[in-house]
Amino acid sequence: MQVETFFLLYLATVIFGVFLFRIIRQRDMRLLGEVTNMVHQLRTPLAQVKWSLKILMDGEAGKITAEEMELLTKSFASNDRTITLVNDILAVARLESGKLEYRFAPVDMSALLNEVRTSALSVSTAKGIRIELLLPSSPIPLWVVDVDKIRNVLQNLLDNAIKYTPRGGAIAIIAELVSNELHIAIRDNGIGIPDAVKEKIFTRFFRAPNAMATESGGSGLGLFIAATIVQQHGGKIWFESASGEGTTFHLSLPSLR
Amino acid sequence: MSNTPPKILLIEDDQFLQALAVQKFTKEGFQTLSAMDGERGIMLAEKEIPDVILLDILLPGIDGFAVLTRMQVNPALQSVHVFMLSNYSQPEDVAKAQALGAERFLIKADYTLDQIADMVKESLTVQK
Repeated sequence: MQVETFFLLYLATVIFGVFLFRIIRQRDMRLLGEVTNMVHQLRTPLAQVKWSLKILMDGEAGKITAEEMELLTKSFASNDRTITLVNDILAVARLESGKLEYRFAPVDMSALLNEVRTSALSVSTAKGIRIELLLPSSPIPLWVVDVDKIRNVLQNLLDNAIKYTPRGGAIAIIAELVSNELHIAIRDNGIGIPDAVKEKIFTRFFRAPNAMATESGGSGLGLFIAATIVQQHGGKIWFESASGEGTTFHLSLPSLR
Repeated sequence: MSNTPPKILLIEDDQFLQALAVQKFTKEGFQTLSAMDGERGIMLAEKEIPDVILLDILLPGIDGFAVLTRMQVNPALQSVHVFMLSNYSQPEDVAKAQALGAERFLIKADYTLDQIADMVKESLTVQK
């Protein structure tokens, strides 16, 4: 093959690649626009249901019986699961379109971990589950992360720990400084992850059979989103688990300063 | 907070959500005002000077961003706490609202009215 022909072929391939990439990007952008619009449309009725159910549950619209309260509590939880699913679908659409922007800034990670723990307490206490927060003896310096996204990752891991830990169980959030990395572990003594499905756990839409049997709701998107966010911070996420004994999710975040 | 009940203005075009929010904030001791579109919202804000505004983005006529822009040029409205309350959560919307002076950006479906009321009360303890 002559050099000119090779060069022309190479050039044509590059142009075709760029063209194809632009078509895919345009399609992704259009899809993202459609998903965003759909999510907005879905969130309005979901907010209506959430706000009304809470007013009913608080007895602000009249006294309710214990049976009614049970039904309302279940409906509220189902509605919240749908909200999570809708939010996850939007997050995945953004991740896949490359439209998820990161705003990195120095963050007080001890305060963030404490906030995440506190916000989970109402649900964990209702299940009789203790959540312990173990911080290193020396203060954690300000850590450069996208606070909203890392908060979502931590909330997601903690929500899963609560969901898949039986009544009366125990959860620990442990933070440690290891060389130049902040290591956070969320340990539970819940149902664990069976060996057969360990490889698939970060795959989108995947849910372990024992997780589905314990909790029918759930999108199977949370861990996929968490892993992508941690990786985009230059960090790592992994887990150790034994079926029936519990799971520890670990994440390490490098110092981005 | 003084003895006068804090005044809250809800600019929200969804009648159902607005009715629920009015009921909740009235019960929480607020003097509650409401508008279904941006133009009426800004007129009411200029007339009543509320302590806090809960502002939707997508509204008939002028949108929430235009309301914020109009508020910025009115010195009487500089100390009003504005919470954006929307179901849109595009990062560019959040950034735009913050650049135009909104204090917080909340997604309606992510919070109960109790949680929103708590955040509003906390915000009112800080002079803007």
